Amino acid sequence: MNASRLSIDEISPRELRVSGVIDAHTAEALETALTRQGTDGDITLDLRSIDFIDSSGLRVIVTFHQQLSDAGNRLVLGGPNESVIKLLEITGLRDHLHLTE
Amino acid sequence: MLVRRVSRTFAGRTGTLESARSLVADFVAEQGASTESSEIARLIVSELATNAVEFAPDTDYAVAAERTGEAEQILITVRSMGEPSDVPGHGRFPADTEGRIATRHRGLAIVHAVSESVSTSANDDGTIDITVVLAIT
Repeated sequence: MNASRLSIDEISPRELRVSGVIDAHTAEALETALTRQGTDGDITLDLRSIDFIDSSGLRVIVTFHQQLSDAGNRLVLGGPNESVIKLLEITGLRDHLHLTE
Repeated sequence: MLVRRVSRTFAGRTGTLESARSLVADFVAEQGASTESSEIARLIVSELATNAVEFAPDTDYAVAAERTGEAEQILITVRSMGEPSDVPGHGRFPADTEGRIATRHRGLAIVHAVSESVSTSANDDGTIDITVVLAIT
């Protein structure tokens, strides 16, 4: 596994699938991809293929969650695995973000 | 013979984070610890090493892990070796405001949440060590 890699695929309009690692090295790529989507409508971020995420990745997600909320829309986190959910619980973010299976 | 300590110096770039994480996570796994413990170690190193890189970009940082003589514990240390910068990585994110989700300083909060203890020491040579005690299962 080349775990420094982050792949971002647009699998349908306003639905992104991210695979690999979201850390300080790759967070900017995710930020760019989300920003490109704009805030006009909900966005789903499919996290089921994430291998690792830390606070740098969470920061991008939370920032964009807030931007969408400000616009009256939602960022939906799809299929977060156990480690992602655990990190959301540790940081107290689980109840603030929109999660779906 | 089981290796009781590993350490390595990394270039102060985010591109080295994966190697730093793997160094310690693999060491923890080699100690017979659970996958969960190994993944927690990976997270701890990621947060501390990211702080080191953002604290002093382009300056080396060092990572060490040591199995202590105590029960099931591993000490993880990340040493920052440069002068503090303006931390551009942090500056990209908006400051916290009332009623919004705080985004800053979650990294160290995560480390505190998953470890037994966290200590910081400023050394005579100007380096700064953050040492975490991880209880392994």
